[in-house]
Amino acid sequence: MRRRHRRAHAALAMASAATSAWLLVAAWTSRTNRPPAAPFIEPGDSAGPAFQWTVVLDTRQGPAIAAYSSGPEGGWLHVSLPADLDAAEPGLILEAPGAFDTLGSVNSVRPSVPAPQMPEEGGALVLVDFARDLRLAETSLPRSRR
Amino acid sequence: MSRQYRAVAWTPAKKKYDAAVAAFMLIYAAVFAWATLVRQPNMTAETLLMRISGSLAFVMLSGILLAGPLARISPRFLPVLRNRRHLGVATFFVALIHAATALFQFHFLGDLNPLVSLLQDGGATGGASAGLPFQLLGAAVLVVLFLMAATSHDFWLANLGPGVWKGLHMLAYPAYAVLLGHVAFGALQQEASDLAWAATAATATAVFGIHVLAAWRERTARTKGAGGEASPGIDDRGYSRTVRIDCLADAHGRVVDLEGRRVAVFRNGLLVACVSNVCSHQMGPLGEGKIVDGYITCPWHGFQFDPATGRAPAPYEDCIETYDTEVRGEWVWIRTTPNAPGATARNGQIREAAKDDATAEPAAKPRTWARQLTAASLAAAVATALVAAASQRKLPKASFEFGVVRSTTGFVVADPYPSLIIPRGPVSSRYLLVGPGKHGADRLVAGMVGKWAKLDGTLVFRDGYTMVEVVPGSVELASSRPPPQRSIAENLGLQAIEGEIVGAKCYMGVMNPGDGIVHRACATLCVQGGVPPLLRATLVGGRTEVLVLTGPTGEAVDKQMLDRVGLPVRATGTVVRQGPTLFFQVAPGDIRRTRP
Repeated sequence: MRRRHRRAHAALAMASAATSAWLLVAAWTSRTNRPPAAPFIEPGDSAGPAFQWTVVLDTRQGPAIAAYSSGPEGGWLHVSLPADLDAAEPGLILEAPGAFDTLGSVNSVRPSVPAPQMPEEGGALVLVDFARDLRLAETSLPRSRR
Repeated sequence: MSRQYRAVAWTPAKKKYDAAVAAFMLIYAAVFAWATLVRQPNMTAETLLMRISGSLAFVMLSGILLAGPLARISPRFLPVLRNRRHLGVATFFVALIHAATALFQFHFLGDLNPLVSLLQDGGATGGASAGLPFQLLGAAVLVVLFLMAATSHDFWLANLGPGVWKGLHMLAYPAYAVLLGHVAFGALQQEASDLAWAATAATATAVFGIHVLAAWRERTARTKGAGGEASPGIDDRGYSRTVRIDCLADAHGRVVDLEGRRVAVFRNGLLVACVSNVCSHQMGPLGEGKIVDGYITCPWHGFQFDPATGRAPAPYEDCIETYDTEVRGEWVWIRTTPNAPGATARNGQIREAAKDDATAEPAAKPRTWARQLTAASLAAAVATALVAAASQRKLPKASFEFGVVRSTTGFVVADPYPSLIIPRGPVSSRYLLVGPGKHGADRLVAGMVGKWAKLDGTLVFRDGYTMVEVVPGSVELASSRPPPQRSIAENLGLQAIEGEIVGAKCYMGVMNPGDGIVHRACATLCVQGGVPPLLRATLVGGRTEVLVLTGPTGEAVDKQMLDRVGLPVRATGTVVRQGPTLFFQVAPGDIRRTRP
């Protein structure tokens, strides 16, 4: 090839390489398949005083438990079921205010569903059903019970 | 020589080359299909075809760009370079299959002109809004591939001229960069594993890295001379020392730097000839060719020139510049001033003793090497297909009973979306109804709302959910019984949920996968056409929950949110459960994209 074509060839290849690198990096950093934003609490952390937990256990459809924080950073947590509740009667609804570690260690967090807005009086609370991998179950809890 | 139209001359070498290309494509497609279907039997045929053709086109274009620098690094790769235009034309047709499948799958059968939908790239309200418009990038690449394929004939070379023709075909480089953007902002966004990213980045790095390596080797050779030693400069007769004789293989050429100019040096028995490295046909590198039937033969298209005169054999009249050469000891000296094109040059003569000293490439058995190269290419087809297939995310178990029509009877409701209520003991099952193509079933059941009806339809299944694609004209009154007892709607409270708005029909199984950025245009068309939108909520561990998306008071969703369909969103609304179905009531303004 003549020299100017060779130079044009080289310039075009270099520009294309730079563009390719930029496109790959830009696509990688903006990829939509990455996991949701970092959870507000990591598995294994203990509940500090800033968190005020209301923990509700629903065993109507098998072992299930969910925790709710009334603070601004609240969210749903999956916590392991204490051994003494394994034999809980199906349909029993329990509540355990306080730190969630009173019921066991944190298994995983559900950062994609942050704090639902709890009504002032009464209202509904959505639970997580382990038996069907997070099918939304529902129970209504009078305010007085929490 | 090339100034008139000639049909493609199918030489045996070209036929073998094309057979090897066809075998590469078939093996890649077969291995990709096998490896995919073993892991993912639920993948639909259209999706499989689209993925095979898309990934194959990417691999082939990478190979096309690799062929040039590989041949400069070693003449062993010249067989790939020769007839590379055939590989380019094949790549265009593979890319065309990919584009046609994608266009049909994602943009046809809706209420919008498919080309308009393509130009909007899935953005229903004013263009793309999710990163780069990857489909438009792909369309741009297809246009370039078409231009290159359509002009891959001497007729166009003669009409456009070598400069324009070459400039047009160098668009392969920017096209490759744009193709990477198409892949990275499209298909790679779908894949959960990093293998696809790594494979794509490695391929691109190889393509450009080999170019850099070839350029570096040429620069080194230019600096140190072809014999590995610095040139002593030009003597008083105007000759420059260039290359050692033992670096020249008999009947083969070598590109040599002559004071900043590239020339082609050939050893032809005991004679050493030097001509311009630029073929008069389309500027092919003559130094990468060989001597066939006594003529220097261009590696690109087989144009021939006499080594001594630079003239093409009669009746052709093409000429190239020649250079005088001398053999002094073990070195070839070349006069830096070229002779006029077609003028007879003085060729240096090698001593008898040095005749058999040549140690340069290529290998002594080119046929064996060609077979090895073909086998290596086919092995590469298997390996790349396996990597591409393995990098796909696992698809859900979803299916569409295409071609199977079933009759069923139930109570038709239209709020918020057309559905069939079928009592099953104390509870009722709700089956969402949709129409053919990217349309809802509103018009199909318009006269039967609030009545018991019998209808024909095709079932769509996913994760225990079932919906029905209604056969137009099949809905008829079944009875005048009173309505069934409806499940009580239970308010599950206000929730903030992250996920993606998808079209119910594709997501439930008509397409698999029926979500993600690649499917976005289709999902937008579906929702625009009346297919119920779903919110696929993302939960811990990648699990999902599906909620039927409605307006804030339970009505059909407002089309204002169409520009967020198929994108990661976060929405705050009320969850309502009715029977086994979950509804998510939300105002369009409360649905926000979570990523730019």
